[in-house]
Amino acid sequence: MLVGPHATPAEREAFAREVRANPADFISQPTLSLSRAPCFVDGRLEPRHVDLRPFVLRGRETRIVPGAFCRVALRRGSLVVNSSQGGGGKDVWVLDS
Amino acid sequence: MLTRNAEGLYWLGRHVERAEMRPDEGLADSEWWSLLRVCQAGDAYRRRHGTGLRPAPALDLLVGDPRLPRSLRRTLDEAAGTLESIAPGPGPCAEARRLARDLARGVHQSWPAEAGLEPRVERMRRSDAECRRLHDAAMAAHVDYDPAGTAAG
Repeated sequence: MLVGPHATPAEREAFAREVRANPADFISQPTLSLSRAPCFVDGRLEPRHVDLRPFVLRGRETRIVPGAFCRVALRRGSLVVNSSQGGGGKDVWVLDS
Repeated sequence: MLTRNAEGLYWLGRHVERAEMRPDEGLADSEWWSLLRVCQAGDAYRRRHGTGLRPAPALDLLVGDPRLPRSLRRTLDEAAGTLESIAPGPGPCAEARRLARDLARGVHQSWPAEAGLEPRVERMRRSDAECRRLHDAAMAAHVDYDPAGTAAG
């Protein structure tokens, strides 16, 4: 996984070589501008990027589960929230609907 | 919603989605290799079968290998484990757990031994209906999720 705008030219070139070698193994998407939320880090509050995955079930009717999966980037400034890449999670409480 | 439950529901969806996927019989060799790589099975295939691509052994690996994290068998076991953590005990989710365990056992115990891709694809077709039932039952885990913390049934 590579976040292009945050990567060095050398990292981008190395990744481009991998894409050229096996293009079917990759997908791409625009860099998203993630929201930030306060996180308690080393005894103080710091901003960290987060994304929110709601659970919307579509069938004969559409249902929205009262909650969501919030993933958080653990390093300051990072956009990488995937748990497989070192991201974490935050509890989500729906206060009203 | 607690993170661990949210992550469980997220992965449950991923596992059930994977369980419903079927490889096309007409895949080119390069597409089989891509499939093996994205399932992190490329090295395991090469160690066992060399660098020549044969669809049947590739599918055997992708479906039934218990050590491969993205094999169908492991995926179904993971789905059952996730359901157990989100919604233990009796209720609609118990049916989903039973289906996932049965499907995992089924692809292991009644997987074709004869050569060729066709019997394997046919075996996967036979489990399509059970996979759809698993899909519906797994949705119940989401619908019945109790944000107050009581395990959904």
